Amino acid sequence: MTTLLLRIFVFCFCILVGATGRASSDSNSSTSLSSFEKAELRRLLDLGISGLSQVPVQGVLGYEQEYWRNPASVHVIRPEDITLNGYLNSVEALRGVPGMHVSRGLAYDNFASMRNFSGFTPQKFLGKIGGREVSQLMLGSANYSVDDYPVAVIDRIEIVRGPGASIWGTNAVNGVLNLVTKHSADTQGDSLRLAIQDNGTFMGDYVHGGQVSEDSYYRFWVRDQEYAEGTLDSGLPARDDGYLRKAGFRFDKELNSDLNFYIAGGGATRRLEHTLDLSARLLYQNSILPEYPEFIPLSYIQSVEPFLFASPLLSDGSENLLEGVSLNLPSTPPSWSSIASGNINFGDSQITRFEQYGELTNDSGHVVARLDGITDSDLEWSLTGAVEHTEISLGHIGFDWDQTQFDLGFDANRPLGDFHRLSFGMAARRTNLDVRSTVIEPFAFSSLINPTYLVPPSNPFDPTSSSSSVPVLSYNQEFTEIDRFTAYIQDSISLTDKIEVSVGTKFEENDLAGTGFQPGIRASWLANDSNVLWAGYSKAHRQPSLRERYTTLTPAKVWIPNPLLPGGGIWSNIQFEGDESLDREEIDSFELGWRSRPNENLLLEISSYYYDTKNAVLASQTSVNAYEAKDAKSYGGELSIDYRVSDLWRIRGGYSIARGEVEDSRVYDFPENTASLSSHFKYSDEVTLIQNLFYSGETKIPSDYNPITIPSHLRLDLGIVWQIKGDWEIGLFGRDLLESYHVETMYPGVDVEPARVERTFILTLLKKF
Amino acid sequence: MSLFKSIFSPITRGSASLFLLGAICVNFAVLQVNATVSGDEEDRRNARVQASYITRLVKCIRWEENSTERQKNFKIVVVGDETAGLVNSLSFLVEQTNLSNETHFIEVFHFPNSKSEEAIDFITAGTNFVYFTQDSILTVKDVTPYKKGALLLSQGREFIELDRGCIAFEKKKNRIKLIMNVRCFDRRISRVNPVLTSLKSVVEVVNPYL
Repeated sequence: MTTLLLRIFVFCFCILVGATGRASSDSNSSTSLSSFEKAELRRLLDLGISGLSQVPVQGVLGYEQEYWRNPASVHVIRPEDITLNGYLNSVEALRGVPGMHVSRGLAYDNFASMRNFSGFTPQKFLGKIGGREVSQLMLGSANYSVDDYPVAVIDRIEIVRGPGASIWGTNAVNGVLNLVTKHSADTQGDSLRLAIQDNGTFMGDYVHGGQVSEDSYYRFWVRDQEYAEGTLDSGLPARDDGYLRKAGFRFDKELNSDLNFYIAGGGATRRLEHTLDLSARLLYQNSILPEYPEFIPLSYIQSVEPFLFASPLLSDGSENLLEGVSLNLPSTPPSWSSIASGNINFGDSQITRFEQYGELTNDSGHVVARLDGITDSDLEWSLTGAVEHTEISLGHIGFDWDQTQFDLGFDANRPLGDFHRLSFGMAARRTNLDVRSTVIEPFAFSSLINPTYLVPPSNPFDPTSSSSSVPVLSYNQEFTEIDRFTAYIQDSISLTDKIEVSVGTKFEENDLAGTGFQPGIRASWLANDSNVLWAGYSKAHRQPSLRERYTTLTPAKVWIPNPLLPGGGIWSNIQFEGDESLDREEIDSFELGWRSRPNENLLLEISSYYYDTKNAVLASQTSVNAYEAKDAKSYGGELSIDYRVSDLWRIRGGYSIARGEVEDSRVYDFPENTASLSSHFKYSDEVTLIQNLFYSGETKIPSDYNPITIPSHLRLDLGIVWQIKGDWEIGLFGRDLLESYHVETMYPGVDVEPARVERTFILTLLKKF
Repeated sequence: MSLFKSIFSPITRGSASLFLLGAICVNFAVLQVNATVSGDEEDRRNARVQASYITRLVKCIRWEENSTERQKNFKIVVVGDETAGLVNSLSFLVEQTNLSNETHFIEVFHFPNSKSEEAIDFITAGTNFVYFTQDSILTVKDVTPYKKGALLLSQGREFIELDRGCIAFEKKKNRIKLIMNVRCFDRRISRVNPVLTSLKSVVEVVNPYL
């Protein structure tokens, strides 16, 4: 059986790559249009004259994502997919993308992951927004709310599932998210979008575009987002209300008919509070009650102590070994008493709830400039430079960093004869960091700096062995300057009129991922006018985040009872160190896909993948390190359907299945099943009715010490959009209508209590250009 | 999972590079013996883009109030043989455009070389655009006496500079750009939207008489 399947895979690949003889014999010389061509014509119809002038006659695989013969699994989100569904920002629109999982952490943010082994930090896919790589080195994730653009300036969001390293580069492991903004000439006039939720959350943005001269255009925009306070799973207030304010600009100039320039920039400032659940972070080390875990919340053991002394027998009839023995329970530190707020469930009992609130700030600014042109020899080239500065403070855990990045990149492609198109390029990046840790008040009491001091010959009585300044997160200051250089070459080959192949590799020299090549080959076969089969093999690398490599996490204080010590014990720390030896993740990826368009109104796509990952960086359950490298495997697939039932009704659906294994054990950090169904029905020329249904299976978010289970949930959104006059639209949307709330979460590692995603109603007003 | 493990381990453990190398070799070997019709796909996309341009141009041309062209449905005539699907692309786009309640109701008519005489008769009755395919036996000279206010379109710079046509599509640097004959719009029957001619990177305005 296994041999048979292996042969099937190799056979399919060989068909796509080499079986060209037959396909070449029946060229498509018919004047009739295929359903793919009709669908492309519909898309071209939406373009203006300037847009048509940018359509390449000969496509380059890997660049032109919507080309139906593209040998990759691609989903494209248009601005109307955001506005018609009432999404406040672009990352919310990713919920409808098969193979993606979106989770709303607290009131202010949504986080996205793709395929397997991709928590929200790190994400393991490459995020590019407005020409910039936005994934942060520290946590390995992007903050899409901060980097988002007003929908009026978004041209499209391309989601490429699967490794695309040969062009996209490191971290394009599970896929690529590429948000492309419009040329300033396409945003002339004024656009306004206002959205208000029934809970008080508000978002408004305004875009103005104008013309400076015959060949130069500009736009600027502002956005204000005011967050209402959310609710934690326990019902306590999340205290996450705050604001995000942003502004940006873009200036485009046509230097001559074949040379264009643009410069764009923006800045954002965000202020809100965030919480760290400390309820299970003040622990008691248990060594005498075998039915209890090694570390028990201190308040729990305090609550059961009277019971333990009340009877010589425990409730299960076993002998009470502690009768007459002092447990040497410490008193709760005063700083913890001040943050106690009621109780939460812990097993069959309850423990004291501790919540540490702190300010979460993000200030950032960037400038990106690009020069692009086409030479007489048809060489299309672009030179891009970017500078970005970000200051982030996680006040709830006492961890701040400033990051400055400098990017310079050159990309080019040109035809080689009639059948080849060569793409090549190189890029360099420097990142400078300034990382600071502070001790949050609940942790500011004396404890052993390092738990190993309890082990002889270390002396816990040595004054230097204890400190009241052990932060939750601390960073190894030796690593504050990180460089990366990349170069790539890829050939897109038209083997026949039926078969397209891209083959290429990327070279990378990276302080975090080392030196290496990331080759890939993809092929598509136009089996007939309405069916395309494609396959690909890629090797991709992911660099460990700075958090995974260079930070030490001290998530909890633990009381170590010891009758030999004064007071009957000593406070120590539970610590997980980063692992400097963590190597890059290396993924061998195999993909197969089928794209079918029986007619221009119906598109079916199936993609499947198998990833074999070496050195997958995963949260450690056994090691002293926060993370450890293990071999992992994942496989799955996505199905998507886009059906225009009539000119009035469009239905889109998606389903994904994902399985992940780490050393032969199943993991559930990504929902094994997700599904979505979207319906847009034009009731009249002015009124559109919208329905969205989302299903997400259960996930178990990995964590250093406290994995979180998020139950499966079904979400129903309904909306109505009324085009009141000309370019003005009003929308009313109801979200999560099936239940009053469900729970979602974001951060693994430094976990926070999951937040409720509550039923909400949103009113939007949109004025298009 | 052991199934997948056993399936892919031969590939992933050591033979992946050989597999890739083999695939590349097959590619290039086959490439040498398959000098086939890759151009077809380019030609077809070229035709689709041109058809899209033509549909857009309908809205960029302003016809004078009293011209007969303004009074009627917008008629696009394609003359000559073609195999790249331009006529069908144009018809499909027009169908979509008409469905979306555009200001003009557009009609597309195709006269292959075998029906050139009928084409002349049809053009004489009044039309808006006349598109000459590359294989058309009819020329600008043949049509000019009968075209009245119609604009003449085709592909290639020489259509403007030598044949004195009105609008030409030029494939240049992997894109399709427009060349417009300024003399065609310097009259009372039709005028081009100035926004179009201001798009310097898209439209080249030339005077072939200079």
